[in-house]
Parts: sequence; structure tokens; C-alpha cells
Amino acid sequence: MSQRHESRRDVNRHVSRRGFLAGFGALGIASTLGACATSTSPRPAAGGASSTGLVLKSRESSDNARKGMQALLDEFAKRHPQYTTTLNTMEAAAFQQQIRADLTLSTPPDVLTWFAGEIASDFAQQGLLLDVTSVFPAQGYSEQFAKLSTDATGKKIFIPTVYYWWGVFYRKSFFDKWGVAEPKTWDEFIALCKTLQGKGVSPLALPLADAAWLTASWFDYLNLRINGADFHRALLAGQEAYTDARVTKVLDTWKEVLPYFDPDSKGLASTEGYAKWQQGKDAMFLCGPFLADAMPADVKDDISFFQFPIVDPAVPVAEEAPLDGFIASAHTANPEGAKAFLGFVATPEAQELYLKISGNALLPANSGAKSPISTPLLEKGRAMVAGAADVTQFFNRDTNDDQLNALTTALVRFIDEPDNGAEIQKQWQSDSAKARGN
Amino acid sequence: MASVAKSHRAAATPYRRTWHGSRDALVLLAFVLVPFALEMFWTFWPALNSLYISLTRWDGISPPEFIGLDNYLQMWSDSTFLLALRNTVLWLVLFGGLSVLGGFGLALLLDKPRRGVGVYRAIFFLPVVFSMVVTALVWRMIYQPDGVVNGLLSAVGLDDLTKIWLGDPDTALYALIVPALWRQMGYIMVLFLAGLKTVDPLLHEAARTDGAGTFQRFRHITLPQLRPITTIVLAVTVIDALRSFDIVWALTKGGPYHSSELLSTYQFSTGVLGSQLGYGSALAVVIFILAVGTIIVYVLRNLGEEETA
Repeated sequence: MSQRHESRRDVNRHVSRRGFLAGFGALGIASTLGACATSTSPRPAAGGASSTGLVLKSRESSDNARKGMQALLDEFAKRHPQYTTTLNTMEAAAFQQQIRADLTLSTPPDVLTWFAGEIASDFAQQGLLLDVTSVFPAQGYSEQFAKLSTDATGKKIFIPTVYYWWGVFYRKSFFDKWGVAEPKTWDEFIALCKTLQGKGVSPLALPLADAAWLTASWFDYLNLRINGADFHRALLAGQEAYTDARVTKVLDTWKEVLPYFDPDSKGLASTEGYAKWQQGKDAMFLCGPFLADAMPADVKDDISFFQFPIVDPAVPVAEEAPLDGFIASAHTANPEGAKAFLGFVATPEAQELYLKISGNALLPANSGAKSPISTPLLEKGRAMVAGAADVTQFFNRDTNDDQLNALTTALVRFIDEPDNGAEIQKQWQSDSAKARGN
Repeated sequence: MASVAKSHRAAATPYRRTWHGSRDALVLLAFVLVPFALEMFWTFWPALNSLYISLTRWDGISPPEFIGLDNYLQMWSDSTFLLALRNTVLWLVLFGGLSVLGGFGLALLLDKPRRGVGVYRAIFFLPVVFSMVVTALVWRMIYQPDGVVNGLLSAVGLDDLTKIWLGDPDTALYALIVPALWRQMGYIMVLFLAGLKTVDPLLHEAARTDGAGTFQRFRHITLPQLRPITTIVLAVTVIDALRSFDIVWALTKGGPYHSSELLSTYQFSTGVLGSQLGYGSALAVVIFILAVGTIIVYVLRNLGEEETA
């Protein structure tokens, strides 16, 4: 014992200043030679011995969600004791900024949280995602969810675990007090807005000061209801132009309800918007169930929502059902472990476990799983998505953040200048094309 | 002492001396080269890389495609870029000009020792101590639809003037300049206060004896004596104006629809948050050229004046 101690001190003494400097210099030179910011060369084939470590990089940074992720890893390690697991959590915005770099690293995190949509397909096309077809369950996922997990060549590259939905949220007690009921159609919706305004209530909440992206929910839904999911996808993919007459129709329809939005919208931060809605100053809020998550416990039971009103009954009903789950890096040193983990999180037990620990108002993606904390709100959301003819993700999941920027610029301006639609559409198309790089 | 020992040893073993000398030189060289290498790696290398990236079209994943100066040419047809450029120039003039004038005025007012002057100085300097994000939070509350500004306007019967200050494209940029000024003026005031302390009171004394009035003394004694500090103030102001980002990002993120966009925020949202790394890098290069250009022009002019003086 003491001998080992001695020898260590010896080593310390011999790390001379010169050696230290030389080492530092070498580090600098080596990294200068080796580094090139744009190098994206694929990693050389993993040398022989595959690793038994499994790193999960997660963007779920809330305390409960982090515990949920850890519970998943613990349960996985119990079933597969040959792997040592590590949870690496990063705040969502930073995570999103880094994922491109993460996936091109030569030693990437093995599995990562991500969402279905355009960006995942892009990653797959670049060959950055591990093929997980072998662990994708044959049963349990709806056809739509399975399709959203598949890349262009038919490989499964994504394992969905939870999803949520969008709807027009309201508080039941306030609706009772005002004596109004859920509308089904666009005309009923406008009539409801008019009634509420007549009672001195601002009908619609849309806090934009720090959440201009919320405008995308209105565009998505109106486009889905008026032009249908196929046109919506083609438009978002750049195959149709924002100057199209069908987009004009969406804006014109939106214009009909613009007078019913809270006039302070543009000056309200999202939390302030939540609060106004909670107090009944704003009656309705096109939002996701994360709105309910942000409410105090005694308000939660009072929350309900209705399906975005039907504008054209001839158009098949599509809903937004953003789907979260996991991907694995193609460069992982532990492909077997990564696949085993993704196979595990696809099971109903794993999804129930995560939802139980995290307590989020989300639905399990595997239809074999039951919500551990079932509420009328969750069941209503599940039924609505299950009844939809088609599902989309959300504007920036179906495209990307560059396209979202173009959209918010156009739509926030449209709120101010609703008679300037043609000019705004032209600018929108030009911004969108520019962001696409052509 | 050291040199004596060295020369003594040198006489005894000339070979050792050269060896020892070169060893010292090596150590010295290492002291220069290692920080240089680190600086190269952490500062210049990324800067050069972004220069290269600005000549490409690159989304961060697929291999970059070399497109020459296309990104730079594209800027001139990009209305958002032109707006951001215009806003940046406006920012430089208003923020820079008003903070220097205001800071100088405050310094003149608070220079003379009198009762409680320390308290006033502290009050004006206080905003400098707050982090910009805290400042932004405070001002967000002030500008809220039912916040202090609108509350005051309504209280005096000017309801017509109430606005969503940060949400209105006509007022957003100016609403952002105010908190930036609020902070910067205190900082400039302190610099000028330090400068005023270096003005020799004997000069004022002599001028007064010769019958010079207050304004004459200000014009012919105070101002010329403040020259060195003015150089520093102007350099600091230009740099601070061009790198202004935090207050804008924290309050409007350049919106609504780009009306308060500065070059710095536009660069951040395209190159860092978005995936147009090529175009974003080109924007960063333009900001760099603007900042360095302004400062070089100023320093050269100043050097020229000092030589003729």
C-alpha cells in the first residue's frame, strides 16, 4: 500500500514543467492538424471489440422527466446486466443545436431522444441513424406511427414512445359560467367567439412575445382543415409555393377570427398568456396538453379541449400528433446494446414506466400500453388522434427551424397587416426558398 | 547575480554554456509558442474556418459545397439583411451617440463635489452592475401591455399613445435602445468622470484669472484635456454597439417580423439556431469587417492627429 503511494508521488515529481509544456504544445499542434470544422468524414469501422457502455443523451431536462429516463435505463440494465448505462441530459435548446454535431462524432452517444419528422428523415438520408428494423415491434404501433418511423428506403430508424396532441383548450367551469358549449364547425366557432366577445371576454389566447412559433399551430390546422394533409406535406416539403391560392384561402379564413384574439397578444410572454387563460380573461387557447401541465393541481381537473373546428367537411380530418421517441447513432460503438435498448423502449411496459415516473400529460405510442395516470383529458386526446384519418407532427417537426422562422415572420406580420396578404405570401415564399438554399 | 554565476560557469565550461543558453531559449520559446498555439487553435483557427465556411453552402451534416462569394452576393438581395444592416447603423448612431452625450453630461453634472453626489453617481452606475438578461426582464415588465409605461400614459389621459411597445414594428427597435442606453450611460459616465479628474485645476485657475468664462474654460481647457479618454470612450462605444445582442435577443429576438433585427441577431438565428451555416458565417464575417474596419479607421485617424499635434 505505502509502496504504491510512494511510487505515485515519484511519478508526480517526474512530470516536469518541461514535459508538461511539451505535452501541451503537442496537444495544440495535433489538434490543429487534425481539426477541420467542416470535416464530416464517416467514422472508420469500429475496431473489433464492441463496447458494453451505453450512453443515452436526453433532452428531457425537467426533474421528473429526467427521473423517468433514469428509470428506463435502470430497468434496462436489470434486464441486460452486460451493459453499463449512462444518462447524459442536456437542456432541449442546446441539445437541438448539438445533435448534428453529436451524430457526426466518431464516438457519439449511443442512443438519443428525438422526434419523428423531417429532421429525422434527413439524418437517415445522411446515413447517421442506425437501422433498427430488427427490433421494431410488428404489433402495437398504428400504421401512421410506423410510417413516421420509417425512412425513404423502408428501414425503421426511429422508435416512438410517447405522443401528444393539439386542440382548443378551455376551462369547463368558465364555459358553464358563460353558458357556451364546444363548437364543431368553423361557423359555430366564429359564433362562439362573437358570443364571448359580447360578454367582455377575450375569446382567443395567442401569447407571442417569446413564442411566435405558436402561430404555426393556427396555420397547420387551418391548412389541414381547408386543404388537407397531402397538400400540407407537399407545401412544407417545398413542392408547392406559399404564394399558392390555397395558402391565400388559409390566410383569408384566419383573417375571419383575427379580431377575436387577445389584442395584447404580441406583448405577452407565454407564461403570461397561460395565466390569462387560467384566469378566464382569455377563453380558448389552441395548444398542446403541456398547457395543462403548467397549471396548478386544482385547475387540472377543470381543463378540457375540443377538436379544431371542421372548416370543409369534404376534407379528411387530420390531427397534429407530435411523436417523441429514440434514435440510435449509426456510428455507435455498441450497436447491439443500442438496438437492445430501443427494442426495450418500444415495449408497453417501458412506456408505462416512463409515463408513471415522469407524470407528463402524454400518451404512450404503443397501443398496447395504458396511461398509468389516466385522465379524461388524456383519453379524449387519445380518442381524437385514433379517430383521425391522418396525422402530422407540427410545422417545425415536419420541416425545420429555418422554415419556422419564415413562417413566424409572415404570420406575425399578417396579424398586423391582414390586408397585405399577397405581399406577405410573396416574401414568405422567398424566405422559405432562401432557407432551403435555392 | 544570475549573470555573474553564468559568466563564471561559462569560463569553466564553454560547451555547457551554449547548451544551457539554448535550453533557456527553448523554454522562452515554449512560453511564447504554447499560448500562441492555443490562441491559434481556439481563436484564429475557428475564425479562419468560419471564413472558409462563409464560402460554402453547408447545413452542418452533409459535406459543404463550395460556392465562392455567392453568400455575400445573396446578402444584397436579402431584404432582411438590408433591414438588419440599417438597424445596426441606426443602433450605432442612436445608442452610440446618445450614450456618449448622456454619459458626458452626467459626468459634468456629477463631477463637482457636493452633498450626496456619491449617491447620484451610484444610482446612475447601478444599471451597469446588472446582467443584461436581468435588465431585459425588468424592462419587459415595464413595457408589458398593462405595464408601467402604458399605466403612466393612461394615468395622465394619454390612452391613445399606449402601445405594445415591443410588439409594434414601429417602436420595437427604439424600445430596445432605451434599456441599452440606460445601462451604457452609467458606464460612459464613469469613464468621463475618471477623465475629468485628470484635468489640472491650475489651468482652470489661471484661465479664471485671465477672465475666461465658464463656457470658454469648458471649450478650451476641459475638452482638449479629455482627448485621451474620448478615444477610449469612442472605441468602447463602437464595439459595444456592434456587438449588442443580449438585450435584443432577450426582449424581441429581432421581431416582430425582423423589425428590430440587428446583424448580430440575424447572424445568430440563421447560422447558430438555423442550419444555414454558410450564410450565417458570411454574416459573421461582415460584422467582423464592420467592427474592425470602424476601429482601424478611427485608430489610424487618431494616430495621424497625434503625429501632427
